[in-house]
Amino acid sequence: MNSNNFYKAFLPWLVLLFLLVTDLFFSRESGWYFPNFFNTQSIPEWFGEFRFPRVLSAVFAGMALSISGLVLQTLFRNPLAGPYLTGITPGASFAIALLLLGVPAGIQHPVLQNLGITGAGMAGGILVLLLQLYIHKKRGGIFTLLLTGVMFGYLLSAGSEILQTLASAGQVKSFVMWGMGNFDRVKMEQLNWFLPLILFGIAWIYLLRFQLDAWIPGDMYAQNAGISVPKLRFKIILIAGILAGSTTALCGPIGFVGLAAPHLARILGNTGTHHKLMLPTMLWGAILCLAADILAHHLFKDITLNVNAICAIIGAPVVLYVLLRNKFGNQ
Amino acid sequence: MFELAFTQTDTFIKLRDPADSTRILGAFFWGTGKEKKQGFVRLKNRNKVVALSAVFVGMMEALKSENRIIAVDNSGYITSKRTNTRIAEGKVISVAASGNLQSEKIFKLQPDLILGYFIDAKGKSELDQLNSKGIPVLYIQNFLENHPLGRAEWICLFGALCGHWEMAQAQFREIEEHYLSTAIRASEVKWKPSVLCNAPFSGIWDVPSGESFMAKLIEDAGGAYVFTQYRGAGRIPMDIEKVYKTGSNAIFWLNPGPCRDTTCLEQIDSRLKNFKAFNTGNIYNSTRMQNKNGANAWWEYGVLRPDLALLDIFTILHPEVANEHELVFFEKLN
Repeated sequence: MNSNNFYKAFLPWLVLLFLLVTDLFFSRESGWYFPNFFNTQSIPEWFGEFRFPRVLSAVFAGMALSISGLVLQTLFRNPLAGPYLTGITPGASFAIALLLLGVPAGIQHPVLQNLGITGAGMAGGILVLLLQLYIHKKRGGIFTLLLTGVMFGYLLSAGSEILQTLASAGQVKSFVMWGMGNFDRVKMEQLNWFLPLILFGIAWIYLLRFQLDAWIPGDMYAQNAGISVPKLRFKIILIAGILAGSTTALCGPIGFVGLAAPHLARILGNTGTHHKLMLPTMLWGAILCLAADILAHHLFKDITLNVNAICAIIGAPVVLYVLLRNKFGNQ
Repeated sequence: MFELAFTQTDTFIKLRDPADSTRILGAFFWGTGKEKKQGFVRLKNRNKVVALSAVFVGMMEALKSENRIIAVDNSGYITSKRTNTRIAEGKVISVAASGNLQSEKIFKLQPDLILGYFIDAKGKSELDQLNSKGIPVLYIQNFLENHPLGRAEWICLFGALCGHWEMAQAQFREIEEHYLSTAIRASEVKWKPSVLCNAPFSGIWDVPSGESFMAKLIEDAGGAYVFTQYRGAGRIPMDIEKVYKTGSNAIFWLNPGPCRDTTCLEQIDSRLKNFKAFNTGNIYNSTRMQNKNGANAWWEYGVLRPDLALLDIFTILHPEVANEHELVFFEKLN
């Protein structure tokens, strides 16, 4: 392994490790704190109840969104595809807006909200992708498919805005705060279903990795290789909906990670095949989310920023830098 | 922050921005004097008023001038019977029920003046547009006053506007005396219990700063607000971990979001069970006068009657010292 390959292979791991340790053990007001994991009784409550689930959810949300983005870019054959652009996140947001804002305040109950938000998020995301698939079947054409996703995105975002206008101040606050994606809201008990779900989705994509590679040259090529393209397309939609929808439901909308992480992996890894891209894509997804979480908590003393905004602020320059440095246009 | 001046024939008001007292937000006068006054806009009439905050409605009701109100921001947030009757009769309408100001609706009403406020430049420009169309806008930025009495003092401005200057002054003097006497009683109590405020939404906790309205009320009621070291009168969006580290041992917890029982609080975030006040049951919310539609008299009268708000909090924090006082705005969470 020459030094360049070594750098490319290990740099993301080192960055991930550094960010993970920083996010988990550092706070601006009290500095570094390393709990004794061998004596669980000594671990302070704030660490187990707040810090740990926050950091763990940032890692898994990053992995889920980035893998979702990777397969959606293959599905739509478009480098701009990601959970946001293809309508999954707006679909999940709209379904959650319907739940939080559409139900009158008088009969709304937090239990209904807690149970419903997750289900609504996933259902909204998957439903939007299934609608797109239906339109794709009727009209065909991959650009129709992408354009449908964009239009659904606009339509559903407008729907969410109208619901906000009609809702009470309390309901609007609850939705606005949900819409400011962050990982602070995640509780340990929620990770009990979130982590297995994300691992299940990633494992499923892993099993499909060679089929996805065979699909890259086109439908004909995949069919000649014995792959049922409609079935594969349906599976991808389902998995991408589960991954991005459940993450959106749990952490709120986190944009840009699903778009940027696969590109970072492709450019830095100099590869386009799924079986080689999956791991670095997840790594970059986790790195982006951890970096955004650290900045959201430590950029300003005591004030916690919106992770969704930070993701775009750090992600866009990174992608631009990598693009320019690698002369991506010539690759 | 406002200035009032009287001559034999006219009344003059100058409105300043409490956040920057050098910034004049408007200067108006009215009366029988015929000549123009340099730098002041004449208010021809003061009978048809658009009140864009429930606080303004509360102040006008206190001065028995609610019949001047022809529109409010959102009639759903009004709790007073007298104004609600006028709303039911169609004499008062909503002009910002969705949160967006309906300028055309206001313009068609042709009010004599608008009592408004702004939080950002966009909000001000919307009202400025109406001002430029000949409808005077009085910017009542009393929510930026740090001291609860500073906010209540604005009733004097309403008194001048509604022709009840003396009544307003008498009311304010009474409120001030009552407030200060409670504050003196509270200052004599040695034990200052720690107090936490508000509740998180989606992991973020809007914490009132150390110079805010609530922080000052807690301090004057003989409490020790846990975030008193943070300067400023606004709110700080803080993550739940930081609030837990600083405030989980607070003895009292006030205004925990929309909750009226601990089950609601637990369902907002189950980790709130780890807060001491949750387990001791020392959580109070200013929802006693909230009706089933969510309208809460706290917003209408809490600002006008800081003396009652202070007495409520003093009674909550020091029941052993406070005389028999039935809580007006606050109630204990079930």
